[in-house]
Amino acid sequence: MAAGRSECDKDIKLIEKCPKDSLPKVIHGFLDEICGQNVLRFHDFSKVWSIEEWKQLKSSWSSCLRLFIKDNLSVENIEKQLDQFSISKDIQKIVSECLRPRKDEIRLALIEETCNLSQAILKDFDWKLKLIMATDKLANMREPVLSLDLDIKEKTGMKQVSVELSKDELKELITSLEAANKVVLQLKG
Amino acid sequence: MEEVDNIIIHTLRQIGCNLNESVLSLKEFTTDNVIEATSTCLRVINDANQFSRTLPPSMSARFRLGTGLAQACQELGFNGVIGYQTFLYPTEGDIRTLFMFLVERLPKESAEAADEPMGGAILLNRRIASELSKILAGTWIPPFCKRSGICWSGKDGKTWHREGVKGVHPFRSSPLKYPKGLGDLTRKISKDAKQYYDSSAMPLITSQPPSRHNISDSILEANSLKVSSDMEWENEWNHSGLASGLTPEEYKAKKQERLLKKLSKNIQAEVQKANVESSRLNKQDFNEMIREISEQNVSAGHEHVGSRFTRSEKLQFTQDEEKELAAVAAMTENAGAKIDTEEEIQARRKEEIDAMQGRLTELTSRLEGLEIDMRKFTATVEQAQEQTEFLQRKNKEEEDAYKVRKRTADLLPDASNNIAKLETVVESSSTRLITLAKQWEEHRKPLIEQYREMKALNSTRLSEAQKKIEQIRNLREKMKETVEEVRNRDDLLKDLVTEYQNMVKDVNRSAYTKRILEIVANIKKQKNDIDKV
Repeated sequence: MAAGRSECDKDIKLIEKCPKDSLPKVIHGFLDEICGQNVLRFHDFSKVWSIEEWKQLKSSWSSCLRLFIKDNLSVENIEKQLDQFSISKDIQKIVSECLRPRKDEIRLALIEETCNLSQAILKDFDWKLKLIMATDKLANMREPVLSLDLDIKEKTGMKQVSVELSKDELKELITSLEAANKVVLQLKG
Repeated sequence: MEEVDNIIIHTLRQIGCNLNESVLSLKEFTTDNVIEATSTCLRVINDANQFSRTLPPSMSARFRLGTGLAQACQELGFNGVIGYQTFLYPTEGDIRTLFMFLVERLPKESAEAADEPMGGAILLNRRIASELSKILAGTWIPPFCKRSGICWSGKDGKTWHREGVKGVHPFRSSPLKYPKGLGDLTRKISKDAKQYYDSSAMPLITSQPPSRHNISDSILEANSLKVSSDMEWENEWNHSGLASGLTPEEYKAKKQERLLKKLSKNIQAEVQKANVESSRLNKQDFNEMIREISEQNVSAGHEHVGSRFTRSEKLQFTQDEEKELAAVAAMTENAGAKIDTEEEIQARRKEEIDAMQGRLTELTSRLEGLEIDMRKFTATVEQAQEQTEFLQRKNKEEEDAYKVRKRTADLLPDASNNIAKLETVVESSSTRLITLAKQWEEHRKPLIEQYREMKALNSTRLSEAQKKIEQIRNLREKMKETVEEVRNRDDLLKDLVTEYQNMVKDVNRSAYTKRILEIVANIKKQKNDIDKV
């Protein structure tokens, strides 16, 4: 346990290698990743850290920052925590400066992450409305169909499901979704 | 006759005759004009009539064209005098009658279209048809010459359509970050927030999504997220928030508290359920586990024995090697005896295990019996305790009763005196009671009045509040309705504007009206004349 702890300390301390002026960028990059935005590229920092160091640094800092936000720590407490890792005051200051204005944003992201605990979640959906004007049997028919693309995020990665729905099927889908929404609202109310 | 000419010229221009702007009346029509107008009219009336639109140079060709045109007109039912000379050497009167006839015969496309019910379906069909015909008319352009599949067309190059799926990309949104809470300019932004918004950690929204295509997707997603959450909140506030009479912050805090409580309750219940189940499983499993372990032991014992056996065998063989091959028979005997002893050991072990297991089961059954006994005993102890408590209570009651009786018995000897004393005591206490009641009444009256007043006030206030809430709700609804109405009106306005733009705005309206007025005046004149006669 103690060995793991010291390992973690070492990973955290890797940040001290970072030049001062790009430190906020690194911290914001980690925070962005927590929020599900653009990921920092190792390429930009290949002169500072080796790839292994970069991985260790990223995972340890990400969990550390998550912890700060999760426990809703005040600035003093954050600095105290960082003191335990024996990190210099300057870096502490920069970290808390980066963290403070984004508190709510990251908190929301974490809550969302917790909400998405089911094995598959809908990330995006896209739809196209098509009008069938004729077939090989019917010269003139007007039937609208909806092709619905669902981007589903699973533990193993993204999966795309495409379905084509007629008007009735779409209605059915919408009513079932509404019923689900109602259940959620009841749970909330 | 000027109006007639105007109408004719306008119609001719509409069907695509290339008439000079300066041509204002039929008088100015040249032979070329006449030929072109007639052949266009004939073609519009019937597609089979294919006459040259221009005047051929040779005289014989001109003659043939003229007779052809004349014949076509006659076939259409033109009664007047007509021949090649009408076209080659036009006179104003002739061509006027001819064109009046032809213009009347033109297919009344626009009129028919107006009569048709212009349903959305038909309009859509027509739009699709026109779009398709436009695309068909255009030249094919290789995909790499079109930027994201867009093809520009039309004379002015302003209309476009999309070809193929090159410019199509899937909808992928990514979360965007943008400054929040800056709508209120009077509020000061905190320093570190400002620093964050200014820094490179807050790039432009256009550079935030991983791909350039997904900018609009992400913006749409962020916007719809905000709109839907706001709408949900407003709905809830209208429904239950307003009635609760709390400020939004208080209401939110309360809701959060309630939800947290509910969540924790649910989780606790689930955890308990899981615990109960697992403990039940444990109990069931315990016996099985013992059995399993014992079985494992048995099998391990076998293995153990087996391995020992093999080991001894090995030993045996090494010994064999040492002792040379001389006494093979004796040794095999010896080995057989050894095996026998091993088997005996095995059997003995088995017996032992069986005996042990028997004892174990016996012990467990005895333990169970003892446990049951213990439970019984504890139950009896509890019962006894209850009984003693009950008896103690009874005892106390009886003691009290005894005390009262004893005092009355003490008072009995000097009965009359004591009765008198008691009466005085009773009287004094009753008078005291009455005075107290009076005093109480005095105090009570104003208090009750005050209470009633307060109550009335409170109820009026409550009803007022209710009324106000109702009013607010009504106002909100009205607001929404008005907004909806405004939107509808806007839509209507737009529709009307487009309709107005689509309408044929010709100068001829005045011409038509003028003509109608003229006709009316003529009729009046005629009437007057008739009256005179």
